[in-house]
Amino acid sequence: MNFLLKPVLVPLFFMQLKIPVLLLLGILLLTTGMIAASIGAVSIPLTGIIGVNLTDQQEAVLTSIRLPRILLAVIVGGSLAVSGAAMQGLFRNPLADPGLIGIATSAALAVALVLVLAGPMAGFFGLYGLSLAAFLGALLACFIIFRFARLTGSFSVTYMLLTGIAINALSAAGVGFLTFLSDDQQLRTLTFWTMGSLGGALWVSVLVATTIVVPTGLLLVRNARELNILLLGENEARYLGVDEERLKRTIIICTALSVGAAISVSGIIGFVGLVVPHLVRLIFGPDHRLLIPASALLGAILLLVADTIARTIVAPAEMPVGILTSLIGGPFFLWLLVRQFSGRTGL
Amino acid sequence: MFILQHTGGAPLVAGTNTAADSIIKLAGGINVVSDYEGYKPLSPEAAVNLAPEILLLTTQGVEQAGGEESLLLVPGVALTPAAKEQHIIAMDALLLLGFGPRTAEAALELNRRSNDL
Repeated sequence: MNFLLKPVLVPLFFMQLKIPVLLLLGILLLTTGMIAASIGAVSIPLTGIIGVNLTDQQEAVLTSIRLPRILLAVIVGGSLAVSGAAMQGLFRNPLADPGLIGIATSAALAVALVLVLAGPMAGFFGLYGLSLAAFLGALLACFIIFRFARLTGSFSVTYMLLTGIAINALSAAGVGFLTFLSDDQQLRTLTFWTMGSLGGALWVSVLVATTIVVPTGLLLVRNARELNILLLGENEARYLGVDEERLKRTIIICTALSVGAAISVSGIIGFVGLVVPHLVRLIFGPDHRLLIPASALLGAILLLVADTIARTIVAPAEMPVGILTSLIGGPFFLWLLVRQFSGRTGL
Repeated sequence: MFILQHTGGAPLVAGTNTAADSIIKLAGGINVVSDYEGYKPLSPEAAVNLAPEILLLTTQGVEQAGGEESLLLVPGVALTPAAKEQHIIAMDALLLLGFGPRTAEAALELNRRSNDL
């Protein structure tokens, strides 16, 4: 029965909801991308993006600085938002985001360790050492959370959440201690790193991030149906035939890989993972089949806008983009809280 | 243009009111960054726009960046005239920025080396 219905229902569902919304967001992203490509310290007319009448300098800036940066903003923003959406679904907790369970902080700890203790490194590691460290730090956090969750025998999300919070605190302590040890230059680098920046965008980082973020994102979308069922509760999901242990493992691993890749190329960018899924839920409802891809697009749009502001507002200097996303995200989040509570409980 | 450090993100570049700015002036050079004070991350595109002829770094900064070759791969830096001509001067951080008894020596050395390029 199910087998027969599926081919009919799925296209119907796509036609009713998914395609128009996603298409709209896609077009919006494309437009934002075009506009972002034309704004910057070196001004490039909108028509110039298609490649007509560019001076050598404009062309060089466009292809080797601005385009990789825009693509990186799209990838990182999408990755953070998708991971946030998946984690909020998994933990059934509106506050969950990659920062909460310690992934971001332990990446920061790994970066601080490399920066302060490893000293200068030559060649390849000089350029990519910090990225590698951040990636490994993020994966390590995920691994530790797993080991501890397995100790309890049941992969309980509560334990995972609490373990994550403990890891968060421990890593923060570690970062604090290394801050204490660091010299002036190291401290500067570390501080700016924790505020995030897409200024180091190279084609290499775009490629590496894409190869990790896109497959994991698709995997998360494939698990959207099961995430929907999980919203009923862990036991209920199990009764309905969801292999929840596998689901949890898939989601944690995918988000860790995705966020690890994002953080490693951009540093810590706050609030995209937290706020974007909420925004999508408010507008289009909580169905993960739509929530995850729509979050990806909206996250990409948001980070792209924030980064474009970051690199132009104080030109020739540039603002750490993490400041801007938090600055936009913070008030919005407060508004969201007030709205939710005043509506439902009459506060 | 003086780059304090570029590890991760945008390069930290010296604006006005910095030791680096002063030593550049003492050595008879011009710091292309005059729009902001202190050390700030410089937008890679702005770096191209400012078109510095010489990149000044501390030896420690170059080491941390993984040597001159990887420094030249950094977005923005790679497109400056300085990078195309490989005009990079690296000097000891304390000598260059310390502003102690050796400052005159540092300014002279910087002047001599930038004229030699």
